[in-house]
Amino acid sequence: MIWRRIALHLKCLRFFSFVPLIVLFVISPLTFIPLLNHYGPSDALYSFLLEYTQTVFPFFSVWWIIFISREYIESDGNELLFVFKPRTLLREYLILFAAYLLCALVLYLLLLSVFPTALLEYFRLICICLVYFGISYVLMYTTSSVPLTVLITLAYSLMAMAVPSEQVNAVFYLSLQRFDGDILKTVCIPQLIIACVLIALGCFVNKKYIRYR
Amino acid sequence: MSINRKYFKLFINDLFLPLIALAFLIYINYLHINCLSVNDGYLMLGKLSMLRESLLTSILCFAFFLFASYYFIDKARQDSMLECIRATSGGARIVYFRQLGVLFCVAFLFYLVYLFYNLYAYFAWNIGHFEVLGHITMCLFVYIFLVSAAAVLLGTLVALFFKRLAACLIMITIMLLVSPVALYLIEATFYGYGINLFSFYEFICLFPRDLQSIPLHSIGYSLLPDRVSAAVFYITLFLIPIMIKLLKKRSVVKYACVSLCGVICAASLTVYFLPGARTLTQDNAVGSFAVDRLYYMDEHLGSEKSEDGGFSVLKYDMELTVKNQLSAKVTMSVDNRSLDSYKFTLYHGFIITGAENQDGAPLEFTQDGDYVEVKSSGAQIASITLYYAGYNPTYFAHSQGISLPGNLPFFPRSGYQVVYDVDEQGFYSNFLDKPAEFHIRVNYGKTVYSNLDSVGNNTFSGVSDNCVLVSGFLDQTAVDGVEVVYPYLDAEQFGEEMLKADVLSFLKSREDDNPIEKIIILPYVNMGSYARCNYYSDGTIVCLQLRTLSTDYPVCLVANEKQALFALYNTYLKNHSDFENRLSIERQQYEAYPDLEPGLAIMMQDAIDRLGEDEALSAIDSFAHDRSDKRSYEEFFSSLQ
Amino acid sequence: MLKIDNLSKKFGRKKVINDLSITFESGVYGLLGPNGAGKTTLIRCITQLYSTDPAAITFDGTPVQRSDGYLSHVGYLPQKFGLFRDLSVYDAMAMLADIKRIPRGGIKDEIYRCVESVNLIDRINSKVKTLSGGMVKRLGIAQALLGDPEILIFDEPTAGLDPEERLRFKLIVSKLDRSKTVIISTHIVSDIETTCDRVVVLNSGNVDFSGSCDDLCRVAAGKVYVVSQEDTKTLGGRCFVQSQYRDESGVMCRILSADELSYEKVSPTLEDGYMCLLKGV
Repeated sequence: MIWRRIALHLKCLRFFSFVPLIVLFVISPLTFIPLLNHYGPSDALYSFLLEYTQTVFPFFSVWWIIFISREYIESDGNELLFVFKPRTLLREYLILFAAYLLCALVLYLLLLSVFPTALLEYFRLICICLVYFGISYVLMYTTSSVPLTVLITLAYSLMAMAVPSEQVNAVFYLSLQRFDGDILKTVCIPQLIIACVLIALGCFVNKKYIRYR
Repeated sequence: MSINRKYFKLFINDLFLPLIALAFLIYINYLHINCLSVNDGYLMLGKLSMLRESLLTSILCFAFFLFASYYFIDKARQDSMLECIRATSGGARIVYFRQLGVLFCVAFLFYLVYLFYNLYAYFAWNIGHFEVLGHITMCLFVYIFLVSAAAVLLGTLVALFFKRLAACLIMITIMLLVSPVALYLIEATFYGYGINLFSFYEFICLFPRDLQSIPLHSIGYSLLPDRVSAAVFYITLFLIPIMIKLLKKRSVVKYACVSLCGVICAASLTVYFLPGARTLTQDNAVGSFAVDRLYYMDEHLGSEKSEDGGFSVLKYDMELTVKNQLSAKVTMSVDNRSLDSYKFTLYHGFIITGAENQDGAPLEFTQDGDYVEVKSSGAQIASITLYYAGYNPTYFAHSQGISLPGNLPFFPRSGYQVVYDVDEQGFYSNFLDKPAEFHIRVNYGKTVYSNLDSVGNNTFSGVSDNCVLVSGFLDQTAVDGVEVVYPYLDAEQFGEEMLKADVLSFLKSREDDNPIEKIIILPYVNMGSYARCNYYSDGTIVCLQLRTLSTDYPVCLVANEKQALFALYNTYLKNHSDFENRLSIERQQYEAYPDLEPGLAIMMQDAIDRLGEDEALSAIDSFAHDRSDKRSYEEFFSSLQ
Repeated sequence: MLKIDNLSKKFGRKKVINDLSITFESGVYGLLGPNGAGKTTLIRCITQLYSTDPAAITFDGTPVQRSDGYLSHVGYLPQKFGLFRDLSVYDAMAMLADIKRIPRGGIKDEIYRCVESVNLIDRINSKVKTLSGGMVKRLGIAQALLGDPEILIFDEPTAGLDPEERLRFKLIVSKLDRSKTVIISTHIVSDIETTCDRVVVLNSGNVDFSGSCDDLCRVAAGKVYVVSQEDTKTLGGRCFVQSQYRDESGVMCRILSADELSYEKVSPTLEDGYMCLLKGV
């Protein structure tokens, strides 16, 4: 049942449901392969990989989640959708999120042939994506607006990219340093904790959503 | 309550918009206050640190105003009351334009916040030069306010013409296209498929570039016509459909406004594409800093020439005008009047438009790359006047500053010379064979500095074997009788105490007795080792840094083609074991391939064995420093008997 | 049977529903009341969109919070309905059927049954966004019918509809199984007249009236007069002008007054009874 629901949600998005897949399977390889040919499996390419995957991939990991929530937060008559249980879309979100990460895993498995530490970077990506998941989950049901959710999520991505912080941490997470114990301690583990808190908060806000409208 | 306050209330009462705006403002405040505290007492990134910090958030301003204006305008559009408002005489335009007014006011408020911090830094860090204040204000106006205004109009356009999903997708696409992520795509497109989209990216990206690197302190951040005109272009471009949609049909005001915007739009586009200097960017693989490398290494490899012109230029009379590029009228008095043709070397970016003799009669000329040939047509030539205009992307001459070192043949040199070293990826340090007399007048709004003596009003006169012209955020001071021209915004290197200490340290460390009258600091652009330091015959050092001058200066006294020998000489003296290693390798190679020429280390060791260490080293040192001695290494070492 | 006992609901300091008790048995109920009476709040309490005291609402004797299957017995059409505009009618119905946990095997038949009952079968493959306002409302009714629920709640179902669509709605309701409990919340009295068996009038969170349509009419018995427009000026505050119409005598007013007046008395309508309650005549 939930699969059919998810399929219909994605059908409702029409072309927009393919955007994350296009980013993962079309744009990313088309970008990466020529740069690999030009730079070779070098540090420069690794830096590009880190910057690209830490800014673009997390934003698109919440694409489906944000846009399928459109009906629930912005449409006329959306209260109808909250009458029947379950009232939160957490299961759908987690499934779509996992689907995205699985698709990303395919890319990282291919990257293993170039960079042996690709799977460690994949773990780093999961942590960052979970934070984005939490942020967008909270924002959707707080702002009741898809554009505002997209704005803030995108702004967070851009902030990480365009305004580098002297010290890398769970919030200002963009780092061109290869994955190591330091990154695990200062970035990934705190991100997992923050993500859990944000997702719990998102569930709470989701449940509270219809109560006092 | 006036209608304008009502619309401000609409903005404030929305709950989320002002919250997000407030959060953004808090973030901006945090960044700026952090910058102040981090830089307290020691300005690591120079006196433009605060401006840099502000400009880093330009893209965030764009994102905020794009989505905020979309959200704000879309709310009004979704409002069912709007239908009845449309039926009034003002129509919906009143609603939308008032909302636009609110958004512009918010953008201006943001601008004021940025301005406040930058003004505070200006006074707290004792920048002192009024021109910098103007630069800061204009930079913030262009990169914060105009960028935000463009975003407001774009968001409005998207809200008026597109449905929600499509609007979101368009805005996200635009944001990603103008973000640094797009550069990866463009690089991939270029290297993978040969499609050059760098110019396109520069056209759509309104934000300041290369903020991660230290700025060129002599010019600050780019306010060149291409940046300003791009912003104006987009603002007017977005305004046109908005006005067409919102203004009353068939009204004079509508036609006038739309036409005016159209004219400004077209004019800014024209200005953008005017030839001349453009904003320097490091990430453009085919433009900007890469232009010369591509020209000499890829397109024209093997086309360099070296030929004695058969004459010398005794005197240069130059009239230079700098606007968006350099325009020049250069009159050269030559010593040999009876040549059939006069060969010159002039950087290919300067296109010659005319040539005349001493009587003003036109002369035939050809220009092939860096090489110019002027035909005398049998007449006696006392002087040749060349008219040319153009620019070099790296050694700039534009409205913000001038950086024309002698390395770049920006004025014609006698004969054909190899201009660019493809290994070093930089312009050779080519000097005139004999010092010439220079009279230069530069028509420029700012103070220009040169190795030559200033006679006032940006006019220079003197005798030298080369010429350098610089201008921008520069200051001049004297340390122990030596004039130093330096970019005062680079407080980390050129703070008062640091500068004095570095200059004194250099003067103390010198082992030669060349007169040092002036030191001119050029903007730090990576153009090979030749640019690091040059010594002109009038006693001027032109260099990139003071800190490394003690090591750079002795190297620069050595002729281009003898750098390898001098480097080996230094290795022998300072790191003998390395010299021994190299000698051993060369001997092994020579034993294996006796048909090859013996290596430099072998020749040097042979000379030392023959003459003794002191004599041999002294001869090598003299040979290396004698620019007029054009013998090859083999000829030199053979002569040491 | 849906029973509401001493239900109170407040938002902040504002009490929207005040100790409301009412029982909905089988049949069609009209829920009347002015704007802000608490109709939508009551409906949202019934559909458990708002949390309530555990014993306040019971369905067949079981408090609804403890009844796992309660919501499967509820079909709800909200005031505004415009979901899944980019899906076809069939797909939108399938989505809602899925949300309502209708067994997979019977979804297709159920969808066709519901869509047919609202005369939308010829548009079943059209996208929702291509439907007119009336058709979208019909789609909303169709989704409420999914699963053949015992309780049907329609919140302002005829708002914004043309007379033809309103008539169509009345016909749909009249064809519904009388063993169901149908609650139609509206402030358009004429919608209730022909479709509802019983009427509940809410005002400021309280039940002002609960009974049959005839009972509501009787509230205004002896209080409805027809006077000319000029005469209403002499009456002043002693009456409430219900409506105006023109006949051969000129502009006539239908007024409500508790006082004995010397004008022509007429038989009260449902609207008269409703206005009497609201105005306290």
